[in-house]
Amino acid sequence: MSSFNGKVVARSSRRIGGANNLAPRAQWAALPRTWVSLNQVRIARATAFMEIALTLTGLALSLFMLMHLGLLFSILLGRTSMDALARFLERYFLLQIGASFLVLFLVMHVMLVMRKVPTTLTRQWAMLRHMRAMKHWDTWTWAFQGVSGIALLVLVAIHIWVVLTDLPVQSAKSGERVFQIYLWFYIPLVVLVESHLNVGLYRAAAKWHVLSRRLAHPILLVFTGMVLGLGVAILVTFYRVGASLS
Amino acid sequence: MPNRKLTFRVFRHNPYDPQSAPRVQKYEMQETPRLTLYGALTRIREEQDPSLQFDFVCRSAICGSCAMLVNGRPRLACRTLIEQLPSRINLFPLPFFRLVGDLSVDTGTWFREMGQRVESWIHDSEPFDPDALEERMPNDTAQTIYELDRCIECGCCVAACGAAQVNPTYLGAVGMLRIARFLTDPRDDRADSDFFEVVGTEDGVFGCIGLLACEDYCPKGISLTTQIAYLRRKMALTSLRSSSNGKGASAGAQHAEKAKTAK
Ligand code: HEM
Ligand code: SF4
Ligand code: SF4
Ligand code: FES
Repeated sequence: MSSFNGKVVARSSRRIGGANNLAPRAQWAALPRTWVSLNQVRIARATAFMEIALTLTGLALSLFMLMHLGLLFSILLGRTSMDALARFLERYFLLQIGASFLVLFLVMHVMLVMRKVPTTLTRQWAMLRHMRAMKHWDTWTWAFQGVSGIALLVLVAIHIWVVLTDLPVQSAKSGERVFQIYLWFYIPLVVLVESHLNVGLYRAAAKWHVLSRRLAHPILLVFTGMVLGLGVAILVTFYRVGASLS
Repeated sequence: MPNRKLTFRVFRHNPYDPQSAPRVQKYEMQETPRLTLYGALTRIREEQDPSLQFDFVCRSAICGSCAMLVNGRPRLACRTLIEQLPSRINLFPLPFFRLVGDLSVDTGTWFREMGQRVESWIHDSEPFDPDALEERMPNDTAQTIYELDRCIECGCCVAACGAAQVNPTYLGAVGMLRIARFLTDPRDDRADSDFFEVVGTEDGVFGCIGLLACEDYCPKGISLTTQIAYLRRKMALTSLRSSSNGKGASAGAQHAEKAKTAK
């Protein structure tokens, strides 16, 4: 027996038949009755996949960012360790492979996310009015995800371009970049990536209820602090390297 | 403290009067001890303006009639103490629902539609035997159902929801709560997949953007986001299962198509 068993069929045909004439006219009732049709079930299933995929791409990007942070940790151990690590990654083209996956997941993530973002002015207006009236913290975190996400799309694209067009990766080059104008590029990038990632994990945890919110708040606060602290420490180290070279 | 001068700015509009245009009207009043928002509105109506429309029945947070936006947030007027509010109080009707006039909205029609949409009754294929003993269920299950049934249909969760503001056909947190209630009930024959077409869509769980406001503003403190997450996991699993067995959901839909053409 298929998962849409006889009962559903009975209900559906009842709906198509007479009983639904009782329904008073509301907006949803005025919709064409195609939602029991083949197409509608397919759309519903696709929506479910997209919902899962959104969280999975978000998770994949988060793992990527944590791995990226882990690799950069080597600069804290000294320039030779970072350069050695970079040479190793480049010997096996791991850098290019990693970047391709990053771009792929980013594009997927953005496409999946757009499904939920209000796209007409009327809806954006309604949403903004709603958020301002409600002054509700978690509603604002969603807006933050949207805005920080768009900013990230631009910043990450620039960053990937700058690094991949200037291979091989070397601590001296990175240090000089940070010491120059790029510091003011990297500060928002680091802050936005880490906060978007953490707010995203918090929201995903709440959405699928893997953590209660009371637990999620302190855990994510500590985690954000750690990740941001590490990011800042890495930036400072690069700045020092750059300063010592010039 | 309870001696402030209170200023109410109240939304006024009668959609049935072509002359009426939406406006905000100011009322002033001296605060008295243990005054509720419901009490204050009644005083305004009795002492200042008999034309002011707002709903109430039970005055004790049971009937769900008196929900409105208090300084932007949905609350029950009868359960809101004035002393917990600032002295300037803005009152608007709940958004999303049809406006009856001033602070009064028609939640009833929407809730009835919602009930029909999720078929909010026990689906049981056994013929009913009035003489038989009722079947037993575990106490935990009964408690859970009782907990999910505490909803008073006030509409606060729908008014608090950003997704509902941009999607008029959205089922709302309360609709999903209702489905969770019948999924929990062992007397109901419906399986997870039976709810897929109603709630596994963008009008249901997959349209929820997870803002969590519904739960934060439910005056009965029902764990709405936990219920939505429960459904989201169930519906996600259902979609994976129905696609792995190949025919799955579409077979049911084909039957439905047949039923339509046969008619
Ligand atoms: C470095 C890259 C990124 C990481 C690590 C990341 C991570 C995440 C995570 C973990 C989530 C939660 C997923 C969920 O809710 O199921 C999320 C959500 C989100 N992301 Fe990203 N993301 C990145 C880039 C972007 C970009 C470039 C955009 C947009 C242009 C974007 C827009 C969003 C939005 C709007 C959400 C909210 C979805 C929701 O909560 O319903 N993200 N992100
Ligand atoms: S969690 Fe979902 S149902 Fe609740 S307010 Fe947010 S979008 Fe609406
Ligand atoms: S779930 Fe809560 S907020 Fe929603 S209608 Fe029921 S009592 Fe009101
Ligand atoms: S009057 Fe019944 S809930 Fe407020």
